[in-house]
Amino acid sequence: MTSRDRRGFLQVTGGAAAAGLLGAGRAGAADARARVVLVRRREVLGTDGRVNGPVIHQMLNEAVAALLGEKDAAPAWRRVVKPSDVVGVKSNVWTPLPTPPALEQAIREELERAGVRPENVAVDDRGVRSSPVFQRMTALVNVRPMRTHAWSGLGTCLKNVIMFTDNPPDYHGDSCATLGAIWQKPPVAGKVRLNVLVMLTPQFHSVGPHSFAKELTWPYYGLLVGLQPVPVDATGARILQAKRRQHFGADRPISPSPHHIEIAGSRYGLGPSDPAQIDLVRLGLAEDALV
Amino acid sequence: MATPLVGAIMVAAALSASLPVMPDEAGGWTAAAPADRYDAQTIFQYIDGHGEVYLAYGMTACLARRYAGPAGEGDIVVDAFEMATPADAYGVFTHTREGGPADVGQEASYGYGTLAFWKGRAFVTAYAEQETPRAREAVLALGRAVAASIAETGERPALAGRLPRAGLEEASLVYLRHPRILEAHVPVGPDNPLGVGPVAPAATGRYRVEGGAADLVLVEYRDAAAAEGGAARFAQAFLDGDRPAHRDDGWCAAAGLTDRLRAYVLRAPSREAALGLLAAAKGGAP
Repeated sequence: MTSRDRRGFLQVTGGAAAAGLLGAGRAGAADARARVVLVRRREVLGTDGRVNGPVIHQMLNEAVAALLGEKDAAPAWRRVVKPSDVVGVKSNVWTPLPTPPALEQAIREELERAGVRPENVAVDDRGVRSSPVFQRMTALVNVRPMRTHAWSGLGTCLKNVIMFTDNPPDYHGDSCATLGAIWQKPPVAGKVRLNVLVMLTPQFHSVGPHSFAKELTWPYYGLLVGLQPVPVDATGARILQAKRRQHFGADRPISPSPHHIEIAGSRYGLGPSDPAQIDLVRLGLAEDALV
Repeated sequence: MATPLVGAIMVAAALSASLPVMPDEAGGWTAAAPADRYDAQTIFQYIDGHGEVYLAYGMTACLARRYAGPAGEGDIVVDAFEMATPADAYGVFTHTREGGPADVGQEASYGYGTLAFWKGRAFVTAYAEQETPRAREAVLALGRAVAASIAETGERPALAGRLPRAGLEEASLVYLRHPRILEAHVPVGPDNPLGVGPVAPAATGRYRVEGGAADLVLVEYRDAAAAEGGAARFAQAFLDGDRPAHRDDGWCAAAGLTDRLRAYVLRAPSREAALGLLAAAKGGAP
């Protein structure tokens, strides 16, 4: 790593934006401002609902560059990871609404383009605890779709790391209020470099045993990208709540309350949830942004 | 009651007295394979991430069958759960219902392509992956056929009937016996302060009161000592001594209705509204 690379890398992992990630519990972490990028492209979804791989790859790169204030994506990615990193990409395989494989592939390609060796990158969800790459990971990229959830109110970036725990139901109490604690413990603590909340077709309400109906999703064509999980999830939650207001014609709070987001900021220092403390950078489609 | 749409041949898949028989076809939708059966250990292989909801109501078995529709229509999935008691079947229905009422089983709802009903110890859903008028009819036909195959009926839990009706938002009435389910409807905070559980069932509802809305939770404890313990934990978490108190999201109050039955009010817009709802709860008690 060159001195410039090291300096740039530290701006990500040791800077104020990362205080909530690496310095969890640090006084004032929840008071710091955070940048979140919302990128939306209508052409990311075909008329058949399929994800356009090149478009979502471009959206990801635009977002990462804007997040880190770089003109191009390549230097931004080199600030996210260094060539010696072993990177786990924590995905989500929930059948009705999984992380799009095209997005997983785009992340993998950018990590490798940034110098990470192919054998040091793995994408996984349920198998993260047994994956050899995840077991020796030095960095984590966290990517999942946003949806309503029976226990936590919302399936968030914060919740996506629950598969690293010995017993996920241990975190289900009080509507998953203590999910933020997972981020303070090995193997997650200090390793999450990027959070990507997939908002292509978010799910704003649940019904039935499988918690899914296609009409409870809508094409939003977006990605939310940030360094800290709380401002990313809080922004996604605002969008879903706005959609619920629009759909139901009245305030119908997300149930159970997704208070794990605010608590992860205030108690565990994982970034601000107050929109007044979130610098939202908007790229692309502005129509019906709901935020 | 079975409709003329229902096929004559039924699959003898039911291995338990309260599990229904799944028809081979209804309304133009046809099953390609026999029903799959799951138990309390294997349910997570089928219901991705939400099996705990059914375990919280004492699920013992689940039958699941997929039906393929005519060209241009999506599949319909029927899931039939055998719960521990009729009260549990009613409870999981109240937790799950969505949309408007439907005339299937003992009580049913239909919304977003999903029919849900309970009958006896069975809780059943039929879900159209692509909702169309024709699929809706088939969902209802499948539901009625399944309901007709269940001989057993059951009583609603008496505790649900103890909730006062005036001001109650009917769709908000939930019967439960697990703290996670209560948390999904009423934000009571950590550590199960009301002490609900398998031997301390609860019924809750959201009420329209002057100035807004409030939650009422009735908990039926095993004995007087358990009731006193639950009341003490609630008082510590939510009250000022034993008097109503204002918390972050509204006024809280509590009262004993009998030696085993306690009433708790949360999220009331005023002290008066909280006490008024408690008074209504007392009026509903014998």
